[in-house]
Amino acid sequence: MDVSAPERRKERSIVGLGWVTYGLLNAGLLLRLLGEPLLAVSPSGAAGGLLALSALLQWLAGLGFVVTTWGRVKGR
Amino acid sequence: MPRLSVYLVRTALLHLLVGFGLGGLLLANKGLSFWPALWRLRPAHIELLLVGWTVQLTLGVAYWILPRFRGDRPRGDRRPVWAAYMLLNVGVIALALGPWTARAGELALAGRGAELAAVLLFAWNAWPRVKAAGG
Repeated sequence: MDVSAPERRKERSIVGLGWVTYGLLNAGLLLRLLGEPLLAVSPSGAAGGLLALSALLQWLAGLGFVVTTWGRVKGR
Repeated sequence: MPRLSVYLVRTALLHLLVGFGLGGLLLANKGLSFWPALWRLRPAHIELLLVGWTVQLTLGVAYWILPRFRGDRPRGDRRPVWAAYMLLNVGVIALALGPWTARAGELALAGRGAELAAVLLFAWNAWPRVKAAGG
């Protein structure tokens, strides 16, 4: 099937966003992995900020997943 | 994908987005302690992700891919699945909002009842479609 140039660009940007989503989710999870024990050891330190950043990255990953998936959920 | 599956899966995606948002607020609050009352969002976070996202996505995909019948109604009677879609979401919303109201107990009971009815209605449609090939 012949795919037009704008469609190819759109496909590439969706795939790119998929990779960004993957990176954000795993970066968020790693930050939580670091932040949770740090918060337990030192509640007044920077660990709270790590957890907040982790939360933001994971939510952005969720948003990225919804954006990349939404257009593929469609009727015939 | 049938229209009903589109509704189920897209609504599930919305629940995922809101559920992740609430989870993010809870996690950020754990780190920065900016609003202690935020912990009351925890049941909503769990309900949205467990039932609103996971269960609803499963129902939407199952309605789409389970074996079909021959004839003009390949997926059987759609009405119980539409009712299941409505009841499941009413149930999730009732359970999510319950802790913020004065009638949390009643809303929890009604919400769980709606979710149970939704599952039974979905099974009513899906059960005859679950069969061995050629059976």
